[in-house]
Amino acid sequence: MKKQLQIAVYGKGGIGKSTMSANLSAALAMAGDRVMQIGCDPKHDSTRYLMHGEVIPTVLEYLRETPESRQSLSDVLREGCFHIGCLEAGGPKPGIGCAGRGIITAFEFLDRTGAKDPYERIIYDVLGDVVCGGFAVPVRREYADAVFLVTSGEYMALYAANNILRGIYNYDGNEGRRIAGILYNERRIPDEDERVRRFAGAVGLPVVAKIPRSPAFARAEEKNCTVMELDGFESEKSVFRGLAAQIDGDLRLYPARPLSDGDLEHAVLGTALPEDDGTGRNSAERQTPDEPLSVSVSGNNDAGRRQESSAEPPRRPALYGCAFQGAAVEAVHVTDAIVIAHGPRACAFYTWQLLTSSGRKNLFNRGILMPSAISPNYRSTDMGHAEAVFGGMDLLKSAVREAIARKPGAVIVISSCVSGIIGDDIRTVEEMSTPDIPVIAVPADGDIGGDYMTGIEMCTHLLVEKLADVDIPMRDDCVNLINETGVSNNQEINFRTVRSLLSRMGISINCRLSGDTTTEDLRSFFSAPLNLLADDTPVGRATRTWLEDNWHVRFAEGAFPIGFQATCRWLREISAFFHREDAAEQIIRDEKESYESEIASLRSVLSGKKILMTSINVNMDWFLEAAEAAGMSFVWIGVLNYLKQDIVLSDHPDRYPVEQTLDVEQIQAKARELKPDLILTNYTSETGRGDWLVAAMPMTQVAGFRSALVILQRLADLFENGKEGTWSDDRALFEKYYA
Amino acid sequence: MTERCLKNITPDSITGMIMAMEGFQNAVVLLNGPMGCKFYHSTTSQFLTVRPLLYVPSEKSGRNIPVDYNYLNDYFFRQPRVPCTYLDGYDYVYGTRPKVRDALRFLKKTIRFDLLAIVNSPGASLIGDSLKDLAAEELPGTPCVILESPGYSEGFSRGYENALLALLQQAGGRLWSGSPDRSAPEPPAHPCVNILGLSIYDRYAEGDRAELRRIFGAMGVTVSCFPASSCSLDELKRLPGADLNIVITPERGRRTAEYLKNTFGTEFLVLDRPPVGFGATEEMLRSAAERLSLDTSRLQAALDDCARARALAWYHINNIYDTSGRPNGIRYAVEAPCSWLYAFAGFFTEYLGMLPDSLVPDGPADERAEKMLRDFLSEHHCASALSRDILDTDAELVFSNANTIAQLKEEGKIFCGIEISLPSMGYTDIIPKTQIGVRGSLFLTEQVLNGMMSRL
Repeated sequence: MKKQLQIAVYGKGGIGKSTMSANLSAALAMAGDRVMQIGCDPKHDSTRYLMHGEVIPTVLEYLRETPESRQSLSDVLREGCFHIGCLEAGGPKPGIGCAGRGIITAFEFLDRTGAKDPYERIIYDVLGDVVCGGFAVPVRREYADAVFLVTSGEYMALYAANNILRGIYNYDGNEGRRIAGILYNERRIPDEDERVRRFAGAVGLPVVAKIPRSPAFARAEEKNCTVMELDGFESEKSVFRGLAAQIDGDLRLYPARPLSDGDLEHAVLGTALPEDDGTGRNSAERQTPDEPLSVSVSGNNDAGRRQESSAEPPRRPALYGCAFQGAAVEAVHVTDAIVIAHGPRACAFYTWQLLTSSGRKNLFNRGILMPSAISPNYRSTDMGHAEAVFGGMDLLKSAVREAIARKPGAVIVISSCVSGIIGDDIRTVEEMSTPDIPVIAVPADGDIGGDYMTGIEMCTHLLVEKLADVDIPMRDDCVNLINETGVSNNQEINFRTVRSLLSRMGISINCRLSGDTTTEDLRSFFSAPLNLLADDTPVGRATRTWLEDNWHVRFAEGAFPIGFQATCRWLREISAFFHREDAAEQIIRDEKESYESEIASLRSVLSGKKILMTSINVNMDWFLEAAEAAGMSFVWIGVLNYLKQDIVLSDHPDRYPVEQTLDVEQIQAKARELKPDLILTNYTSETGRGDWLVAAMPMTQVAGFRSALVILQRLADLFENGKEGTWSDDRALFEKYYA
Repeated sequence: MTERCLKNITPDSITGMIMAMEGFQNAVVLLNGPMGCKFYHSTTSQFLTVRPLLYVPSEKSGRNIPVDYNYLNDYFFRQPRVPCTYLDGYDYVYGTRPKVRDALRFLKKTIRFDLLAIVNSPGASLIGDSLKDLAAEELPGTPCVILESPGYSEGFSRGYENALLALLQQAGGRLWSGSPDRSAPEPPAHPCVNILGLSIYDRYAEGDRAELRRIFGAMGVTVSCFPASSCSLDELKRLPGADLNIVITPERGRRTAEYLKNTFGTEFLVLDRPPVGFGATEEMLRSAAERLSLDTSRLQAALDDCARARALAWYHINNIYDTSGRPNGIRYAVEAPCSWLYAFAGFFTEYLGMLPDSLVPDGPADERAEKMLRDFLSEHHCASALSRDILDTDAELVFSNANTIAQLKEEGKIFCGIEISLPSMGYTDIIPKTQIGVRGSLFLTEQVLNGMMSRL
């Protein structure tokens, strides 16, 4: 199989791109290449000739109608003449949605399904007006290796060609060479050859083919086929054969050197025209009226086109939070990095509030100063209207330059919905990295990249991929901590507990991934022989799997231990790995005595008490067992699985039967039926009133030997002294006075 | 390690819009955007305003239960304020109208509300879905305002006033056109005024409103309406009937006042500075009395109230001044919208004799307010305070939001931080407080006296 070559064919609307593309595809296929043509115009008629008139389903229409789990490439990929793979990206209805974003979505689907992999030549037939970042996607460097500009000698066609060069120049600057040349589609206007020649000379490009005005194209249109399939018309066919031979041979590529508007007029029209001829119209508008081509590729013939489906779109689960925010919360933990939110200030503001609220509260309530929660190294590009319309890359690059000037350990850039929708390719700023300061792009695109948890994962992966040194020597006395939950109030307390336990065994902490860390710590990530998962959350488990599968690192079995037994097991596992068993056993002996003594004293108050528990927490055996040790029993346990995840509350389901519920009324009915002494829940207001105590189960737990003791002691205090405050009787008064 | 590179990130125009619309009682503000844009606004609005409990049908039985019992409710997500359409990547490609339509039907079926606002998130605004016709179709009898463009990185005040103007323009016809609405409330007692430029997002919004009602009441003037600051639909309907519109914050109210003048002919008064401190409060009362042609005796009643408060303040200040010479000469810093900056500077410098160290405008300035501030500072030979970053201040008293105060604490600065805007440190205010008017002047004086580090 030949090396794959991706070719974008751009030009003004109606100039004949689809005709050129289809005949070029046919010529390449006839030369023995495996060819795919992808129509990137919402009109979705690029492949009509290759398909002999058959209108094929568009990728975007298909994605709209089909749940992700049932999506398959074969539903949208068709085989045209000469076994050419045919795809149409399609787009939303005019006036609705964002067609540019549609192109991006279609391309993501093609990438996800590996649609292009079997082909040697990919032809993108792209709407000529690069109206936004979305329509510019095909010229991004990960797609087009070569670009042909289709133009006639008409001023507006040349103007469009020049605009396309500007678009490519924005990607490539002075360095890239991706322009293959000009396909001159003759319209037979006065001085046409000279105009095209002057334009080509001015922009430094060759005219690689001149397609003569010919009845061949009208004939092909009548027959709904390519010219290459007609009998006769050998001179026209030879043009496309020659082009195919160039592509398969030594295709020379040139840099994009667009002209200013003034230079363009001068080059094309020969002389500068007056600014205003009295009609109020500018010079461009005074050019020859836009006549239809002899070969119409756009047309208004809707016959045979698929009607827009009226089917309801598939229901999708709501995304909790957005990837942008998850990534930002993750990124600011790299304390020597500068994190840039690329979007309107609103996006950065929400994250800022999320980050700083715990900092303010800790300062106010406890007098604790938490630098990363008070002054995170986090800024916004403050995209405005202009950037939303014209693109925000200049603004972003300026922000990155300013950040680099401050000499941080790294610069981390995260994209918002707005920058994602308009197609800002933030990956390009990675080229601004210096030898000492890597620039890392996290293309979260708001919630287009997924939910909050996805953002955390995305950022975590990139930090490891971009920063960690795989060749670093491994040490024998340290661990990494993975997935310390970003917004947990217990994060710092648990870190200190774990650090103390490890220290008592002579083990140090190498790097905290998803905890406060530095770029230097991340670089030495692979020097730790063992990794410890902090929080056993879905994102934590996913991070662990990713690290194990891709980097073959080793993890301890258990997460940060919650409760006495888990802490014993955790210490023994880690001590065995590092051969520090004696130290671990000494810690356990020291702690066991005081733990048993405290449980015994709690028993006098708690023994015989019945608990009804609802929980959003997982792996609660540490508490269930401790409560039983204190003489309590569980009359019913309900799991609130509102995120529809796999939740395991206990490893002993026979001993602790669990029901999944999302129904508050069921919980209240159970309480009335079973008459517990205590309802233990994450949401205390949902329990209803009754002859029982209500206590809150913390959302996040304290790690270590004392996790359950802290909660049981509070319960004992409540049973001994506490009753529900009478304030709660006043709900009726609130309803009366504030309804 | 990096040096400090960041300033506090402040809310922009979409927050201004949402908070303006949340400033109407019994309104629903539907955020057409992803859930990431919802949580802050929902939480903040819930804590800033006291509202009736919201009941929605149970997902299981269909019976009405409090919204925070419903785990997977499609639009509220356990939070009673600012439901949202939870847009995702699919909606940006195919359009948001189906979700907006579903949300409107759900809201119509589920809860009773007087006013609906739909606010596009910045992302949703890019794709240009037309929502006005949808709202008209689904909620034909309800005043609706569609805020299709939330602005990108524009200031809070800009978003606030854009939203209010859009409401007046889009829903005004339903509220005021043609013959008098049969449901329109009785006109308030004259003379009456509307107060423009306050928001539920102000640090002490409820107390501010109460104080303004009280001091205007002291001279026999009724406050008819505080649009966008806990205003009911009935009060909004009374808006055109006021004798005078008083603009407290020109950054948020000048254009609205001009619109109301052009539409209803209502005269307006833009305060040179908001009523922070005794002097500014007296100025406001005098100006309003003059514009309303009040009897001197009425004005005097209000000024007497202020005079009694001045006397009380004098006693406490004098006790401290006697032994320490303070608050004279204490350096202070303020971060606030430009017009408020001028008012604070006036009170602290002219009345208390303190010295401005750093005065930082928060958001784009009203041109006139900025000029008056500059003139004031030049007159007092302290214009340099305007060019000093608040994070560089060595002031003994810092008046700002809690983020800035916390940042200064984190830098090891020794000072007393006094909150004048959001976010707060987390203190829950149950008793309404105010920093404006007569009582606000006393409260600010109290905060200054308690915030000074040493009386010796």
